Amino acid sequence: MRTLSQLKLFAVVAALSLLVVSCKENDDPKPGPNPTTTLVGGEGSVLIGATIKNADGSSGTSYFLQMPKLEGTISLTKAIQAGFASTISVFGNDVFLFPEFGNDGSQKIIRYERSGAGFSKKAERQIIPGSYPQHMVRVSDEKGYIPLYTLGRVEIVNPKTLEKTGEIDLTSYAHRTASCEPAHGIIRDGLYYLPLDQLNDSWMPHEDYRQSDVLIIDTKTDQVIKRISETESGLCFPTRPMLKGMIFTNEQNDIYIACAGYFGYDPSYLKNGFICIPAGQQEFDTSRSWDISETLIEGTHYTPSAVYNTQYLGNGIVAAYVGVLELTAGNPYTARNALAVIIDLNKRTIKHIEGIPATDGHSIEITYHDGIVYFASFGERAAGVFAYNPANGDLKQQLTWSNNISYIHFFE
Amino acid sequence: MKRLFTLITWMMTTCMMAQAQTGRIEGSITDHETGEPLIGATVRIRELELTEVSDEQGHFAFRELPSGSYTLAVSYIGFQPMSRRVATSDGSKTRRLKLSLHPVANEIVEVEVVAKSEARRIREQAMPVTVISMQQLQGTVSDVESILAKTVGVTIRQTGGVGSSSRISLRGLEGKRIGFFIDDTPMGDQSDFLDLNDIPVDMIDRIEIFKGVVPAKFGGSSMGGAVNIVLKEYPDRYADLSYTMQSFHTHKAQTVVKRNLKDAGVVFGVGGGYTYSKNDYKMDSPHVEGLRIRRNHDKYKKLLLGGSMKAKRWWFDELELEPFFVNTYHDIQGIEYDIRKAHTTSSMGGVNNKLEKKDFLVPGLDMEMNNAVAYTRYHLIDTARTYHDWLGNTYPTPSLYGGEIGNRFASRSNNGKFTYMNKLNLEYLITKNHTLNFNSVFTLANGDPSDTLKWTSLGKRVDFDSRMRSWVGGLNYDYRTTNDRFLNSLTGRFYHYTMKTRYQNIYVSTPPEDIHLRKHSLGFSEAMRYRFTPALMAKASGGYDVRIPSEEELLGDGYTITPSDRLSPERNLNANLGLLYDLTGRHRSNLQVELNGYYMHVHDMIRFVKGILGAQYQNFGEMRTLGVEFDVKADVLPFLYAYGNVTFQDLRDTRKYEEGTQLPNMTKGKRMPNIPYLMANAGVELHRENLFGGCGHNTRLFADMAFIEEYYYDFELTETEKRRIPRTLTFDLGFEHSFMHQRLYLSGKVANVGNRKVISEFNRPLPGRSFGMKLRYIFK
Repeated sequence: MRTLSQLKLFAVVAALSLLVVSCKENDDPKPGPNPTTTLVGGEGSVLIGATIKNADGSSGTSYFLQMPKLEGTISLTKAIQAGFASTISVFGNDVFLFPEFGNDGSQKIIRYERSGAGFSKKAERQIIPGSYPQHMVRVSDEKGYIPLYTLGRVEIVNPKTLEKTGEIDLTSYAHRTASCEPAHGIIRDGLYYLPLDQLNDSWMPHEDYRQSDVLIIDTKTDQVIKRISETESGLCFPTRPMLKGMIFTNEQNDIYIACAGYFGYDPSYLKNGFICIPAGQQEFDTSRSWDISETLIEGTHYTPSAVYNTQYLGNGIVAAYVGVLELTAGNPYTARNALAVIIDLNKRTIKHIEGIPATDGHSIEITYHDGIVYFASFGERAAGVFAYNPANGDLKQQLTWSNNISYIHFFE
Repeated sequence: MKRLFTLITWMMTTCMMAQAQTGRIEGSITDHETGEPLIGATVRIRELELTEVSDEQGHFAFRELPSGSYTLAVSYIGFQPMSRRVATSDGSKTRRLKLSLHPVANEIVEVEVVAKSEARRIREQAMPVTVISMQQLQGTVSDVESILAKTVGVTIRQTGGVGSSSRISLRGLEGKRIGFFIDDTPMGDQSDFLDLNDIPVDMIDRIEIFKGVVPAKFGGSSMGGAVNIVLKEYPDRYADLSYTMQSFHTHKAQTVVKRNLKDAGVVFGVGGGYTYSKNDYKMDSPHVEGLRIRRNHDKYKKLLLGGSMKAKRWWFDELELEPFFVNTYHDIQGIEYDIRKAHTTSSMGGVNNKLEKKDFLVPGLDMEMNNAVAYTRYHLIDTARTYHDWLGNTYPTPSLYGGEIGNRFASRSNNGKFTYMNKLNLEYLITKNHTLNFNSVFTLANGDPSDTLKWTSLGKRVDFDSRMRSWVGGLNYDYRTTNDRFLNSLTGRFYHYTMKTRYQNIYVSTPPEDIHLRKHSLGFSEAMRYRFTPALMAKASGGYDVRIPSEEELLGDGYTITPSDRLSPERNLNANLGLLYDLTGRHRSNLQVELNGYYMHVHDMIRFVKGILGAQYQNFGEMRTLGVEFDVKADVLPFLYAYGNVTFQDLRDTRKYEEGTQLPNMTKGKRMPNIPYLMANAGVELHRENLFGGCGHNTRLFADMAFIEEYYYDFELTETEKRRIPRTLTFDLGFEHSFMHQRLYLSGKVANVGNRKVISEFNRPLPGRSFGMKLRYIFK
């Protein structure tokens, strides 16, 4: 009897041992995305960034994918998943995916090589924790600048390999904090014009520093040549670091910089608009600064409390999303207070585009392609991408999607 | 190790020598009708005036008796007393007795119920409930959460080592909605400072886990489930000391001392525990491939002191006062980068009071009231002006005032919180078949936050005093047939809460906004149980529960969780069906088989979401759950116990529209993210007296397995580059050996024997293989 009991005991132990050794598939669990060995992201020639937000508007998950044409709706089946509000830079067929803000998601910048059949991962770079890189400005095939927003540095990298080749320390330009928040720059005549957002601990411009600083950096030596400041207009928060359209040159090679101000969060200070560094000069022309907060948005009773995003169309015309204080209520992340407008920099007029739903201040992608302006909007009753023809004012909903389209790019 | 072996050998030898010239009477006492062990029966040797009380298995023992003939008198409430002559003719002989008592024929139902083991009585309630009894807890090195994690339908969402924040998840619902009670007293806001693992396992009599419908006596602070920890009733004189040493520089010392002044009818007790851990286990960086890091800033220290004075003759049947003090220090461990200075501290002191009176004011009315007052001060210290990556590089914090944990501001908070809770339970026995129960829970929480460094850093005050009041009243009617074949329990509840505070958006410079909330709601539940045979019963229950948001959910915690003052109460419509086959005490296998199925539809579920600039509690429109639980346990052999359970819980998004829009919801029908959906546990335990020879020894050897299937970190929408939390299959092995007739215990455990990588919350690495040893001595 005792032998039988021992046998039963042995059988139980043996069964458990079998369980212990039969779980090889779980030997090395990977918490993060698996390395891509095949093409991912879908086929096509239009790159779409799409986000599904949580109720708070400041969390969720983002995806990017390729589709043949910008029409119909999106299927995420083949999409590449990314952290919430991850940003994208595209140069030719190189697609750079930047990590989400904070520490939860992947902490890597990844370069994908794109073809019509999909994306393949070619290089990746571990970021400095908490440094918040959001885009790359390409200088050449061998050099790219990646501003580290919360560290006040610009990393110099090889865009192909993402290896770091140098660094520009900007901390000495910070006002009362450790970082000057280098935002989105542009290269003109071999010089890198890099606006600084200069934020306080509440992520807003300092009350005693309501001005716009731009650093001019020599792309050959990577040295800061000078800092220029526009202090007369009171416009501040020059460019948002994830939006390349907020700094642009016109046909005359004048640089225009859109300044977001306080995003309408401070009703006592609503200045926002444009500042300008004329062609051939390394100083602001303050006569061309334009605070749009007192300009009526034609077709409405409102004036803009913030510039959320801009896209230069030519001939002084800018497609933009502007914030409206009167439409802001409750959660600032979900308030649908952004209106699609056409801004004429020469005539200094702002005109509302009827038919594009008001969207929230974080669902404001604009792309210009083949004479058509594509506005992404996350409206209450309609959402997706709206195609606007500035030549004749035609408007149609180009793509339907129930949440936020955060990025659109047409590959040639 | 050699020393340990010598110690064990010495103890075994001394025991054998000491017992050589004395006699011994031991035995067990059972219910004659059911065969169940009678716990707490009094056994007296009249001639020697020696008294013992039967333990949880109905066992008793008299040792070192002179040779002779004795009269054993056995008594137990609700049973006819008996006596028997027993002779110990030879001093070395042990007399083993099997005694059974006959129930008193004309006792009322209540006394018959008391006569059952408490664990079984709870199991036979109409609500779905799992009871972990004392036998499963005795002497174990495991903490409470590890024990709970083996239970069907339960998962523990840990985030790190000892002292790390963790959440109990019952049927996929978790966080504040899962009530946490000690001896029926809600911990409520105290649960932020006192967690389950702070309760010494050796002090616990049983753990009751209610799923779905929660009994009326627990008030309305929980929804979807509740965990009630019932502490032991100690013998007249008792002292218990234990020391535990575990991997990662973890040390725990605990003690309980009780003294019963019989003549005065007063029992005094003091107890306490101290836990220290460096939690310095190695982890793989979730972000840098190949980087293995030893955790270096996760030190945890906790001091827990408690006292108790229980009087049984001061008009009340029982009047209890329990002062307590808890002090905690915890470093903040970096995962993504190397945090070196930030830490939290808290101190909480208070008094619990319990009053019980049968036939209160009128015959048949039983009253039970709890009052708890606590004051807490807690601090976050985050003033470092640099932070470090894991390669040793140093970076300045964004704010000149410092702040290395990822906030853009520094903190040196000094937050105060005063809480008061009153719980009243009035139970009126109308007839022996009908019972009416009124329940009231009132809570008051006054928050007093202060963090001048943070306010200086942000340029404005963003934390304000808060005043929260809530009251939940419930009326419950129980009907039980005379033969106890059918039991029905119907409950209605009213919920009311108010909150006053101010709110300042961190970005905005406008004056803070006044918040004054006042909300109320109604809920109900119905539960029934039908007994087909003495062993087979079916349960059905359903309800519409409401849970009001907690203070932390509404106001945040002052540092890492941002306020969410617009939160709505969450509501749960649920139905539960179950079958229980229970042979405990009826068959030597003590087989228990339980199958439960359930449905839940939760509106405005409050869930914890991490955002760009901080975490926050949010309402999630609608969600439904379908679940099945299967649980089986039995003594497969007289010396071998085995258990197994499996849980499948399918939680799906049922929102029709995207939040705040009339657009179709893209995740409708998708499985809810970050919630496990398939879990299983299994284990065996071998227990034997004197397995290695000697006498008065008892040995338990156990092996446990836990399995959690891979689950989604986000809504699963893509087929490529998915973010999933990997499958885990872990094994624990352990032993417990008691010497000197269960006075001295030595136990040990190897957790996660296979050293599997276990990750929680996508990137929170948990400890790998760990070892623990515990030494415990009971002065009886």
